[in-house]
Amino acid sequence: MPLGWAVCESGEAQGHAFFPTTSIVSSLYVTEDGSSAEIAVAGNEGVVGVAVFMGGESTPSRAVVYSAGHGYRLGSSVLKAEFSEGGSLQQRLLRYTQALMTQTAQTAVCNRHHSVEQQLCRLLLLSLDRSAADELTLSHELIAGMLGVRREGVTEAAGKLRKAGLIRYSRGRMRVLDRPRLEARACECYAVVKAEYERLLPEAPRPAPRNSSYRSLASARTSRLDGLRAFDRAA
Amino acid sequence: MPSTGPRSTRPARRVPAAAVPLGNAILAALLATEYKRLLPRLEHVTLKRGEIVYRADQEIEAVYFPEQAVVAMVDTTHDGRTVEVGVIGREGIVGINIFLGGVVTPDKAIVQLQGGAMRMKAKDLRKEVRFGSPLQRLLLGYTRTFLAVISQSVACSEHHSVDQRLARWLLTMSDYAGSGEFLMVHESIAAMLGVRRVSVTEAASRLQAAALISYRRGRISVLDQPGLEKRSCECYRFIRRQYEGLRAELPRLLSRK
Repeated sequence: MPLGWAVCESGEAQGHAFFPTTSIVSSLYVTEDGSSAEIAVAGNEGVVGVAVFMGGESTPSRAVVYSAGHGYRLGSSVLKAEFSEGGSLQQRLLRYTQALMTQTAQTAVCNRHHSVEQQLCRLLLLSLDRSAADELTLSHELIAGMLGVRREGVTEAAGKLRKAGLIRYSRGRMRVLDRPRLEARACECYAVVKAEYERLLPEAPRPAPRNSSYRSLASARTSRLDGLRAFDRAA
Repeated sequence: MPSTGPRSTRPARRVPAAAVPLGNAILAALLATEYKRLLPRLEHVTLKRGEIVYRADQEIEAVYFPEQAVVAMVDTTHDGRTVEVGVIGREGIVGINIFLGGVVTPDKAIVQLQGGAMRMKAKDLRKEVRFGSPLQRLLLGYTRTFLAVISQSVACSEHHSVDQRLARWLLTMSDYAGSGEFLMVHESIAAMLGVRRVSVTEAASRLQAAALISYRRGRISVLDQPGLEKRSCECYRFIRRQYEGLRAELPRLLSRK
């Protein structure tokens, strides 16, 4: 799943649900005048396309890969059928939905009240938790789109973090050097979201080359999973 | 735990078995037989304006299917600043977390407009949403819609002006109230929009000067709905479309595929 690839477009029918393994996907809400705001990030703990199993034809948000990597995809109809069978997959997906809702709600309050720098810290930490490495491929432009601020705002905030020795970046690669201090600098929103994910999805792996939501799918039933295959779209 | 509202609310009259659930769209969508089965678990209560239905991070003991009552889900920062992330009225359920497998709610739920609601114990709801049950299918559809509404709140709180957001809020409340008139003080609107009270007062006087609303001792009247819609951001229409879509979809959600 290459950087910048739109996994699904807002308002369009989603043919597949995606279970990221090493990639990270951001869901964005785009307003009529084209401004965007990140509403949630999903990585190896989750699935992109919760609307699919909840019976939706389309989703109002846009999902974009912001950290390149791998993932699995599953045809929407297969996921729907699996979901309606109930059991651990259904439970897992519903709990994931709850966690996602918390993340989105927390993002709303964070956008409203916290500084760009705090938001950037939150985003970096959430991304790190979903990444096997300490390094993220993130351009300032991409981050600006996610935080719904201007690129200069991100550059300035990132500059401060770099100066403080918390991160290092060059040519779109961002490395976190001092995680504890980054956490100290973030607003509480990161901790709130993290706690909610741990509470609802206690078995979520970190760091993991596998997707935990997908795992509960695979362990649930295997006979009907013909539609499931590793998704490895060339860049 | 006396802090949550429901306890302090008089456990009101039980609904007679013949009652038709006209008030709440989810309950109303259920077939009569299914509704009849749920009825012993439902109790009618009145939610009072300003009542805190849930505190953040507290265990949910009961869920509510609002009728005339309107409840806002509110997120709070550590230093006490707030913003509304979703409003729930007769189209929905307060306590969707229970349905999704949660136990506590990270958000606070505050009653905005006083009115009736059907209350059900959380443990009863858990039993009732066996998979494939009609109630589960309705709640899934609602969850999806509500998720879209929350997502939109993120963008709205970030990109739209106080004037736009105030107009949206007033239109929404006016729709729920049905009469175009409702009771609400600037302070509580400010908490919902995540802005200072003075910003609301200023924005409201601009709307009043334009003869779009009138405001008198906490009583707000929408005088010019189309005019107010022009001042609002797209979010008002977006949310209305979402709920209209849901309403149209309810029968389909119930028919087995």
